[in-house]
Amino acid sequence: MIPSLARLDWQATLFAPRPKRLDLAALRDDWPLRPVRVRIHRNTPFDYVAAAWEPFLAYAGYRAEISQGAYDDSLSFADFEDADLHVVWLDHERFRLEGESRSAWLTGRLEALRRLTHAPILVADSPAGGLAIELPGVKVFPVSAVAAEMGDAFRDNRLAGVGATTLSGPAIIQLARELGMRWIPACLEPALKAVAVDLDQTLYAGVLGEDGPEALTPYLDLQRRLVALAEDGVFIALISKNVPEDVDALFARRQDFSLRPHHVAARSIGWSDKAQGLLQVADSLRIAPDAILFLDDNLGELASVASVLPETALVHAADPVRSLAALRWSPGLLRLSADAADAVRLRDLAANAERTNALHRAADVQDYLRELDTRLALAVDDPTAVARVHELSGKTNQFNLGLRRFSEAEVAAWRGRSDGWIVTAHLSDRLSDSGLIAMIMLEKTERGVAVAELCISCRALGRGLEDVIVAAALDRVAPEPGQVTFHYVSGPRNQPARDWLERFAGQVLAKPDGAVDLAWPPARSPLLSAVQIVWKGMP
Amino acid sequence: MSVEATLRRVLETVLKQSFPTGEDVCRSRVPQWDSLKHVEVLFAVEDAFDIRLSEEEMAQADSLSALAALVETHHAS
Repeated sequence: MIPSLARLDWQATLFAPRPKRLDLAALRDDWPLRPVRVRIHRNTPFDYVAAAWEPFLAYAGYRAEISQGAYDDSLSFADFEDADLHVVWLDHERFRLEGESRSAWLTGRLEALRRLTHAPILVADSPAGGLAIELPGVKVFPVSAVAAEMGDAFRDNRLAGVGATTLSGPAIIQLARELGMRWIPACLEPALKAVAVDLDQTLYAGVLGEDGPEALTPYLDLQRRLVALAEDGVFIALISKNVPEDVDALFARRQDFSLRPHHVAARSIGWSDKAQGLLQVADSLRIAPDAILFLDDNLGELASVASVLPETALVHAADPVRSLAALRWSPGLLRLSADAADAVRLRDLAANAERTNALHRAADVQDYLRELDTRLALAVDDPTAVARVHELSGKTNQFNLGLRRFSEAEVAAWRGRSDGWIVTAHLSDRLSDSGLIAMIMLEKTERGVAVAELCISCRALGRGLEDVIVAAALDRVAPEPGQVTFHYVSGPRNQPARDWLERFAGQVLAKPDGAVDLAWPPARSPLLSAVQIVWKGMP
Repeated sequence: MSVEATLRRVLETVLKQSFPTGEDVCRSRVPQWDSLKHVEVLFAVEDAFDIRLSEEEMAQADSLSALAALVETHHAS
């Protein structure tokens, strides 16, 4: 069975308010799981959570291979082994230090761990909260949020002497679910970019075409959650077999609906099958189908989508409570690095239609860029851009030359190199601010400079800016004539980047993976004069 | 499913081994049933039967038959 369909059978159990242990144990995964090595650094047992998290991780597509360090209050990491992910699991009541002193000491220990590994690190806070850690690639896992939600049910002192834990049975399940379905996927893979929602019996009770707009009962909690996702930068799309004018009238007449048209980034309303609708939505949002979570009450529609788009995550919207739970627990919706790029994404997308019109009107690309008052703000080794650079490295598929998928810690380490640079580009024009849309990671070579990685957000493609960004960056870090080497690999989706490199370098890429040498500087691109370029953070 | 069958399923799930039907399962004779697994067993039993054991009862629950007696007591009260 297609994995996305097989997962539907698990949703009643995994999305339940309090999943039962025997129900979880009865789940049998029937899809490939990616092994992930997890190293546990601890001063308290992690075994209870590890025994419970398997089905949650399996739903997210992972199988954890755990290794545990010795119990160590000092967090010396003397028995360090590297892994794909490190979890620092703590009973904070064992520490004498409190508040800022504890955070400062813990920061020092995590800096030491950071020096040993570039893998993501999750550190558990205390049930009382208050842990603040600001290190690249280190995230605080909010045990406190689970404790606050569960109240008195979080703690259980009955087995403190026997099992060295004061976590209750339900708390262990809840923590396992948070880790397995939200936090670990968020550490290891890019977040989903869109949630697509059916209308009839999914966004509201009723059928628009049969009951009429006034008779429908909106699922307001669900709609409010979709609004919150939209405000966090997740694209919301509507996909429905309905008459488009009826849907327009619905939103016009039902002002009590929390989800409003301006929250919706794309829609496919009509009578084509929903897989085609999802492809249309993906195309208009410039994202891939595997970046979308699709909710529909109709199992037949979900099966149909799965047969065409097996990579699209699906939710059976059996009832509004299940749908709401799905928007909390579905892997890929937790964003660990919220930044301005998320907030501006929807506005930027809305501006694209006008940009397309401007392109049709323009005499040439230079005229187009000038007409839009296009501005690039470039920076070298911007300390505030580490998270966004990591996000671009992980999320960008089409315009990604090296596909190296740098962790946040690896980006921070590169930034600290004396023989390496990270140039970032922030794009804006008179229509909108597109945010930080490009990164180039460069390093010094004997003959000049090598481009180790080049990623440009697909939102910024199609405006002729790739040449401008790369040329400006190279002019800055390689002011002397020399050689620039572009490293590239062939991936399933990065043909646009390779096509660009062939054109930019004037060379055919003979091998699937390799390097291209280019004498620098070449003839100056006329596009450089069509764009306003400002530099910040001079080296 | 009977109480005994459910308890057997709990033990097999937590201890990751099969126990023949009709035989008692005693902690003293199952090496995998250590203190950490005992916590998991107790939580799983409470979860499955929607009961809450006292500390004293948790200490007594060292076999399938003992667990069954505790479950029956809680369901009767």
